[in-house]
Amino acid sequence: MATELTMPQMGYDMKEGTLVRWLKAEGEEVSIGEAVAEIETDKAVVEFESTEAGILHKLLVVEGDVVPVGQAVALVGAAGEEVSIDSEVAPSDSLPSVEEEQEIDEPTPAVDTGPSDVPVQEPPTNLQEVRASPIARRLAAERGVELSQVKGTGPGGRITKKDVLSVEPSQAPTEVPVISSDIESPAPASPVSVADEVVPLTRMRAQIARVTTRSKTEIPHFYVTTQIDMSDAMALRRQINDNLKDDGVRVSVNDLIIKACVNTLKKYPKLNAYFSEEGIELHSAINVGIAIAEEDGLTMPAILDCGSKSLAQIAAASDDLIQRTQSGTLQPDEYTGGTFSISNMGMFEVTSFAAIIQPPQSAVLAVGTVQKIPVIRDDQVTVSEVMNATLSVDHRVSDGAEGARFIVEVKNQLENPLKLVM
Amino acid sequence: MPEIITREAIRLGLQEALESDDRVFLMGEDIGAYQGSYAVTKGFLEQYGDERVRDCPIAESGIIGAATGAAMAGMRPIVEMMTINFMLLGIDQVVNHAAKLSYMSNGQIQVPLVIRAVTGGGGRLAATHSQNFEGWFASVPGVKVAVPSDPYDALGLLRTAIADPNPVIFAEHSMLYGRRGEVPEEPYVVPFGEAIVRREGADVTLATYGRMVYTSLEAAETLSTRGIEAEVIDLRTLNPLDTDTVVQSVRKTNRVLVVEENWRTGAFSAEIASAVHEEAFDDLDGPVGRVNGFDVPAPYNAKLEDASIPTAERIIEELERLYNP
Repeated sequence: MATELTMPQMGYDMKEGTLVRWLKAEGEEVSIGEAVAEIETDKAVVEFESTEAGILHKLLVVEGDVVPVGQAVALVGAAGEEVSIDSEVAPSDSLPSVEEEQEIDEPTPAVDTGPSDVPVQEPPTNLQEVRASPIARRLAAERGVELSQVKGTGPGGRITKKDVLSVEPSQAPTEVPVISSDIESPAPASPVSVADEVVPLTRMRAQIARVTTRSKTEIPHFYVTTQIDMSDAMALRRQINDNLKDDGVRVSVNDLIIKACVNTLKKYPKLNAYFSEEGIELHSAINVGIAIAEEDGLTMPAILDCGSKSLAQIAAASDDLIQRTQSGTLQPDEYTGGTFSISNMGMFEVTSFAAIIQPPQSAVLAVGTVQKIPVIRDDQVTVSEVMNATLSVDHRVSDGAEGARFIVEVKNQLENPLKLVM
Repeated sequence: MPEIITREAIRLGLQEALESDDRVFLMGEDIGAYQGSYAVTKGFLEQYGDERVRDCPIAESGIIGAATGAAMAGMRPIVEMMTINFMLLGIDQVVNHAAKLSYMSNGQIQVPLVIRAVTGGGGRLAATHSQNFEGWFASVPGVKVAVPSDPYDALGLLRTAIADPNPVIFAEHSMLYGRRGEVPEEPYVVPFGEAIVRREGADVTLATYGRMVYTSLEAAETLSTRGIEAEVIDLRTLNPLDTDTVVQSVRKTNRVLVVEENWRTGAFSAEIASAVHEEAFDDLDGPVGRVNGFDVPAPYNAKLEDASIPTAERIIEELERLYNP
């Protein structure tokens, strides 16, 4: 019997993917782990590897199709096997088909709440023009209300502003995060300000909007900030880069910070964890996500298994990750596997900032520019290279005291940088 | 702040001008010996003398023409037209001379002329003495038109009118002379082109001026008992016309009626309605309504006359017809 290849979940918040290109044709043989197609997620184009071995009997979607996660895209089976498409590709109960989703999105008919003596207009048909006031039309367009579903109470059955507003609550988008069910929905603002231009959301913008909203809605952030004297770390970095240049080693400030965090995470595993209703999921692997700015957004891919890597190896892995982010050839694990993240705005002359935690992680470190400022050392004013760092922590997982101990240990690591190369 | 009536406020404005500026003088019919048909200039002849308070023959074209000439020569004449109905005899002097001279002389000639004209119906004065022509003059480039509705505005707008270097028609509604209101003793002016919100409300805008301000306020009070809050805007001048204040209000209320005493056909309310349609179309919840006097000569019969002029009931009926709020 043939087996389905289904659209994989290649990101924490991935709901669908575009099948960009088939790499195998019907009738070709595939093995487990062999790339059969390219799939575009919210973040990149990645290769889709077969989870089955056999003959690729049937391609179920065409190039360019947007396919929900979990839906079959192809059937793989033994040579000579008969494939009955009807029986094989019936959508499973747990996953809504595309059609079902569309039905959910369809506006529900307005509930008749008006008094019964109000003149009722016959339900408009395609042949019958909908009568609506200018502001009613404008509000309906802004709120996604289908005017043909609204009963007009104005003169001659004209749909008025009041009529559109009265159906608005049932049309509210279902994806808006609700913090508490007993919070009243805010009254629609009037007059409504109109945008001069609407820039459509790219997939990346939409993804960032979803993830950050979810993070800020679900995760109770708290923040701990400290100042780190980077003088010794910078000196060490110069020394390493000067001496090991011929070996191809080039360590960035960020690499030092990654290494300091990795060493610290080993002592404080709760910040290398995911929160779940069942408990705090600790990870033995330390996969450090780094924020990489792109043209219209950013990605936070992770350097996998940093716990076993030396500083030089982290530097190399970091370079590699940045290059593959730019070429769009990151692996799914690198998107989803992060256990802790670092966001570095050092290149922007930013003194300090706080970052949003990337779900399902529990913490992110935000670092600013390394800058020379006067500091007091041994009761003497002297010039130091200083960097501010702010740790954002999920309060469900950890508390202020641990956050403080964590960031002070990071500071300790960077101010005694030999710890980074030992 | 002292409370005075509108007649008194206008008297104050005229006295102030006569006393502060030698170039100011008054011309009009029955303004001196008879002391003014509406008693605005009572006692003026005795106080200021016949050089400055000049009784004129019944010859409106001559009065306005002479005043225009005096203004061209550097004087600041203030003319009283016993009623705006009589101004039709002087309309050529206003439209073809006073309004044009500055433009046609490339600004070499100024006509700082104020024509006070008694306007409006409701006084049982029959068809030829009850008309509202301020809207006609407001359509003429070169003429400004002020339409005060209370003592404060009457004095404040009169000061602005007298100081203006252009001809100004100052339309005083005959039924408002006795209206009482606070007027500060310290100097102030009411600038032209700035409407005022007389009553705030979120549900419908009533844009109006003159006597109809009070009819609209009366309608607003009745509507309020039904949970509908009307915003009443007093335009204060028709030219320049402050459409911005009306449009801003409509953006909030989405409903608007223009209320004007004058006949409906070709009325100035149509000008305002058109401007609102152009500027606030996407904010409207229905067509811009107009409540005007009926297209009939003013009846002499009291009940018929009252019925020919917009009432609070008609404003409410029109609101229901157009918006069913």
